[in-house]
Amino acid sequence: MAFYTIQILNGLSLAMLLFLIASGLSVIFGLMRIINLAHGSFYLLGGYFGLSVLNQTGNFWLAILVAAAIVAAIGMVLQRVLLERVHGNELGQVLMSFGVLLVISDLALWFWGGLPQTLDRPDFLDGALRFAGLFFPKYRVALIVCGFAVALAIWLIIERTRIGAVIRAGVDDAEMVRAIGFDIKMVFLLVFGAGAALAGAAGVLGGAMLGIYPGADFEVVLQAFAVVVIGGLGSLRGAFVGSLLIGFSDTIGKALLPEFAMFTIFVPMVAMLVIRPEGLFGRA
Amino acid sequence: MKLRLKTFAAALVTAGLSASVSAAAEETIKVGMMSPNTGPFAVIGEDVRNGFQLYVDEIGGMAAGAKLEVIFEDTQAKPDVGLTKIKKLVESDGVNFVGGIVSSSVAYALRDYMVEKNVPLVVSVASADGLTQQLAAPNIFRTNSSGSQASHPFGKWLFEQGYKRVVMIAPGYAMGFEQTGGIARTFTEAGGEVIQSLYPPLGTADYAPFLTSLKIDEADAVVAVFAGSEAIKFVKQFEEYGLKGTIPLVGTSLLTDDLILGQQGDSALGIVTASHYSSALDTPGNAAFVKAYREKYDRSPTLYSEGSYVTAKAIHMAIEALGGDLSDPAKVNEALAAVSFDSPRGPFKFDGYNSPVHDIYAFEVKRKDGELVNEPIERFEAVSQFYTWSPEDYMAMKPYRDIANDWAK
Amino acid sequence: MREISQMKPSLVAGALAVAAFAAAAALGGLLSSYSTGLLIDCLIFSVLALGLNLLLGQTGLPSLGHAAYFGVGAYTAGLVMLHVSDSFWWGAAAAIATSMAVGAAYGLLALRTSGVYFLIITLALGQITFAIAFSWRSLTGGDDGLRGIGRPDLGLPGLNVDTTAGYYLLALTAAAAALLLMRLIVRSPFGEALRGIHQNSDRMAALGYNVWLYKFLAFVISAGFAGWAGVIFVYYKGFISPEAVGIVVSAEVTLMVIVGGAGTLIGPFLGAFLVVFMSHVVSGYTDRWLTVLGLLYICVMLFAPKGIVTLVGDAWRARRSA
Repeated sequence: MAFYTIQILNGLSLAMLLFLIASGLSVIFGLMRIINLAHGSFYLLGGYFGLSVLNQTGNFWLAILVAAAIVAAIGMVLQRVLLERVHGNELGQVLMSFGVLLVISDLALWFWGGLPQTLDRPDFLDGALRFAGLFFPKYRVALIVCGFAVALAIWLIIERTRIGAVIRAGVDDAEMVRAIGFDIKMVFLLVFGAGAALAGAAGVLGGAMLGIYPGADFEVVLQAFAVVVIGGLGSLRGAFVGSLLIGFSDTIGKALLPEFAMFTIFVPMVAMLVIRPEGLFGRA
Repeated sequence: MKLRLKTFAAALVTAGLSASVSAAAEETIKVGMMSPNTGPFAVIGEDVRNGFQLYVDEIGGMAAGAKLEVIFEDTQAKPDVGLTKIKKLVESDGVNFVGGIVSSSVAYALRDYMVEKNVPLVVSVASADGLTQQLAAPNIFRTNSSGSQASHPFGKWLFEQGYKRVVMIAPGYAMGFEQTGGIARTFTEAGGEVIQSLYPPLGTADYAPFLTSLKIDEADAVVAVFAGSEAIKFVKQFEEYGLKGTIPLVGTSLLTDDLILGQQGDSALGIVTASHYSSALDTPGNAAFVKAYREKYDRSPTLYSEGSYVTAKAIHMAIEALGGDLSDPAKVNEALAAVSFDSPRGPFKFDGYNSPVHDIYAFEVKRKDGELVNEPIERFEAVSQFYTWSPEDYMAMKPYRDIANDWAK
Repeated sequence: MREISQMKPSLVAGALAVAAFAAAAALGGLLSSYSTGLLIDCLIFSVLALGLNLLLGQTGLPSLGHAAYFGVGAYTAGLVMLHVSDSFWWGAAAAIATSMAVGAAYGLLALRTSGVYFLIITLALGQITFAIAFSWRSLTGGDDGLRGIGRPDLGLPGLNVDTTAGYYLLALTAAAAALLLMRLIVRSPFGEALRGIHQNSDRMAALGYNVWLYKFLAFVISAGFAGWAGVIFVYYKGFISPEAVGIVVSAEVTLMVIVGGAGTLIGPFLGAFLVVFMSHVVSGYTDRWLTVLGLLYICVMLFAPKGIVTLVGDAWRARRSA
């Protein structure tokens, strides 16, 4: 029992981290049909910028804010200057964003060095909670709470605000949104920036849980893609449920069947694509 | 710059048209240095280049009166790329020696080609056992410990320290299998018991699920083997999940090597590992080496940089022994095999299979003058990759990479 | 009269092709062994790109997991060499058959999807293949890979492939054979049907074509070419390890096809030569070569998304009509 309780908490904490990354990826896809492999670079850059801020100021919250802001700016430039130019060419986008991923990972290696780094978390989140003989890191509890809060916030924005209504309409039919007089390009840009900001913030939060190091970008983006595919490209609810599924399969599956641990992400992904390509909550 | 332009030109097809350039005999001796400069292993590659360069600078870039020219190449830690690069070094640059190599898969990929060309390859870091055992060759050398070399004395020692039952956790590929296998073999032969072995695969983002599956209630110690970012994650999470302080954590050097120790912080305190080198070693040669290295690169040397420094020294000693005459490949190999010298880690020589015989230490992570160090707490003298077995008996046993799941009862 | 005018260009083209082949073959004797080795690398990836082009350029199916079939071919040929026979022909036949079988299995799965989902599922299948190569240690050697694979016996007296120059001739012939076969396929009614599907699959379906079957066959044939490239690769390198199966190789091959010009016959060759040479030349020149490679991806998509061949062709036509 204790084993499963802890594993469920482990799964939840990984799932919430994944959700922060995958939610942006998914909404961006839903709106702009962009497959952005460089989303992993946003995570990596967020972690590194956060690290630099943390080293200068020692303030974790400032690190999250600054990292999110810088990465959002980089994301928006990327969207405007590069990805939009290949709009409609899916393979072109994938390859271009792969190129961006290569460039950013190489420049990050150059700038921050190759040594794996960890981000210091705030003091009050150090240590562990003990209950009923169980032992669970406080930081992960905070991450789980944070993940749910962000999910709720995004849901409220999309369901209850004007910009949210535009985004929902845009996912259904971007042309129509343009036709009724909205600057859809600006909506694209803002959503892309917001998705990048979330991934950047996730880089700081994840960096304090798992460390930040060359190659983290690629690990993360493949997992996030599995989440998005399983949940359904373009669906926020799908990203949430997909994160939970991948988070659990990746933790509990690996703990129970370590021999098959390398398959816990891609086999469910292929299975979902074969059975229901649009994912659990996506629209065909 | 000159070197780079030369590399540039050599890679162009046109360079091939002047293929019959006869290298100006022994006025310059060329050494190729292969290490990963990009990707996740880049940081180790940097140490490897630094250690080598430090030694070359110490001897003023001269060996036996000839100029020593070092040509660095990026393997990208990819076997295929490594093979192409080494072909460039051997066939286009005409190097006399090749050193470096961090990844075992790269080393395996180069091995046959180098044996065919009979140019000495002195591996600085890659630890795959087979390279100097079943696949040993007169021109294949290694300066760092083989995968299980440090593990053998350590496993027996752990039993002697009073540990009777251990759980093991290591990455699910050859490095993890060899390093834990060596510990498991001598530990169980001494009478200990491995009650569980877990092998998280490559690319495991989070060790929490494995940590919480370890049967620590039934064990006296956790044996762990990880490297790089995985080692940082593992050691930090070991503390987060409340295991630190409740059960001892022991392993091999990579778990807390000098490169990552600073990042692990106090989480690493008290971890005991086995290896042939740490920057805290108190040998006659080490103090000067550490001082020079710190002055030049502004950080402590690691077992990667020391291994590469020793590679350079071994090559230099062989050149000196031959008086700079490298015309006979067989003699070059013999001269290399015969070198024996004092190095930062202590006395160094090769065994009959061109793998080092050196002292192995048990290190404990301690805080000293504010810095975390791997402090030696036990020394095992002159250990070879075959430990107490004869090479024949040893190689008759199944390789560790094939029996990883047989240890746990 | 009509017949002669039709004959002539193909005769000229044939003569040109033979001359080009002879010139390329002669090059092997002139160059240093290192440069010749690089040419072999180029030829191997040309064949892989050629195969992918059948899917990507002709049929319009963007596969992002083509290294899988390349790897399956290489592992199979390597295993045959290590455990069964050193005959080139046995190894090649087994490798191509296995690649096509895996291609058929994956094709059945992948062709249930289309568009962006096809991209993602081929990527995922590629990663599963990588995971199998990495995990199935008893067969593949795991992360260490398979090594000690010698040069094959071709059973042809007088042809020695132990030397780099000799192997270059083999690789050149293999690439030329692949090119000829691909030319046949592309110019056949089958190839025309593929292009028809690329342009408008609904219309082709309405015309009575079994669109799915055509796509499936293209997928399997394409995997066969990748397997053939794997054979040339593994006998040349003497080893195969999981890295060759991963997504980095898949992406690079896709880049080659696009740089050269998807849908053209010669484009994949141009692309492969450009990318292979660039990687080696630039990485000898700067440590930041990954940045340069990344910029190549970006610039190609921005400025030459249809590839060099198409770009040059367009420019030429524009000049002629001006």
